[in-house]
Amino acid sequence: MDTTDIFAAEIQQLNDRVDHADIRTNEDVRRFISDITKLIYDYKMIGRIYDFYLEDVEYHKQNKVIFTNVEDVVRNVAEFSAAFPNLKTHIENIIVYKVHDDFYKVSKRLHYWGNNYGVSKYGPPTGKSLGNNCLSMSLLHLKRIGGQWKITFEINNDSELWLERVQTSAPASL
Amino acid sequence: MFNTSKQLEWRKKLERYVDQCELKVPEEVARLFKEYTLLVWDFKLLGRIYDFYRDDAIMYVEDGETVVGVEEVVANTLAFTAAVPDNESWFIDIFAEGDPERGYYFIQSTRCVGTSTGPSKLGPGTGRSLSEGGRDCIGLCECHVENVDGKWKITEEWMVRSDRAIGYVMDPAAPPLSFDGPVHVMPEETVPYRGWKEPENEAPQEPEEKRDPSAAT
Repeated sequence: MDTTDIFAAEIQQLNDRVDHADIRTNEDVRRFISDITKLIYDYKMIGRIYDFYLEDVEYHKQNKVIFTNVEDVVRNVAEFSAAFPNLKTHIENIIVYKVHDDFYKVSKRLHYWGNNYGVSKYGPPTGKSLGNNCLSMSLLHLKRIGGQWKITFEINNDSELWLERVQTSAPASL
Repeated sequence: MFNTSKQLEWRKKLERYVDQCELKVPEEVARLFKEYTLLVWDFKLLGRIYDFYRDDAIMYVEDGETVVGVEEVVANTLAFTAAVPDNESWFIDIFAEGDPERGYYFIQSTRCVGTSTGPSKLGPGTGRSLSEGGRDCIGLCECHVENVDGKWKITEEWMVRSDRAIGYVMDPAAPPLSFDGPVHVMPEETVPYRGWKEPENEAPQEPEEKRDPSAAT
């Protein structure tokens, strides 16, 4: 079996799980958030952001960057994924707090793994690896709206200085 | 700027809760560490770091850096307090998950607010606000709290704090910051506690003078 067949099957499995997610417990939320993270970042299903994020989502990134709609989020993820086409997420912990049946507060901590093999806003690819130095943390609100679970608010901080170093000619050492 | 001298009664209430909290439920943990954060940072009681951090606590911060041991935690906190002596903790949210047997993880998000008036590794204070441009830096911090020999201790911490934006205003050579997009757009402070009630006394209200500093920039 080709690797592509394996990936396709994994994507299908994740799609099925998130599309039929029945969220009632903190564990359900944890699985949902983990699945959509893998779908979007590991399996490049960037268009699924439109399914999981509110159209006018309030999204804060590190260093005072603010997005006020889902298109900005899509653009940002696409640029990041293009710069690191072999990107993988290593999810370390997800904290879930139930506010009520239709609203959960969630935090997610992960490391991004991958190489700068693609063009980025910093210039041509460097080939350098993120190693295990790209810590990323998020705090988000997951709400059921019209029967669908949507992220309505998110604060997402990545290790920006490290990302810059890896994507430029600056020394990659700490 | 937050007038600490006028809020010493409030400080006593915070200390009372922090000293007596038993961490029975996640809501208590959230309140405890919110008030503990205020004591350490806003009221500059840095010695209280020794109350809750293990000797060998590890702090993983952005860009792959690691702070190992409570003395390093104290040193880093001192350095930032000296560089931004009017720094205040404006909470966006804090919540926790866990139980008394397995311990807790909590996450907090705060706006990094204050003025670069003291020395930092980038040089002397610049007099520039961390809210320059009409936007605040937002920090995210997660902690693992465990019962160690009968005492609740932070054993691990992860933090990503927009160090680049903070460092920017500490750099005298950096031009003034401005944004084309929205300014003064910050998430409102939320009240995280659901179903939690302090039967005997309410959580102390923040003083009225603790106003939104970013509105002034």
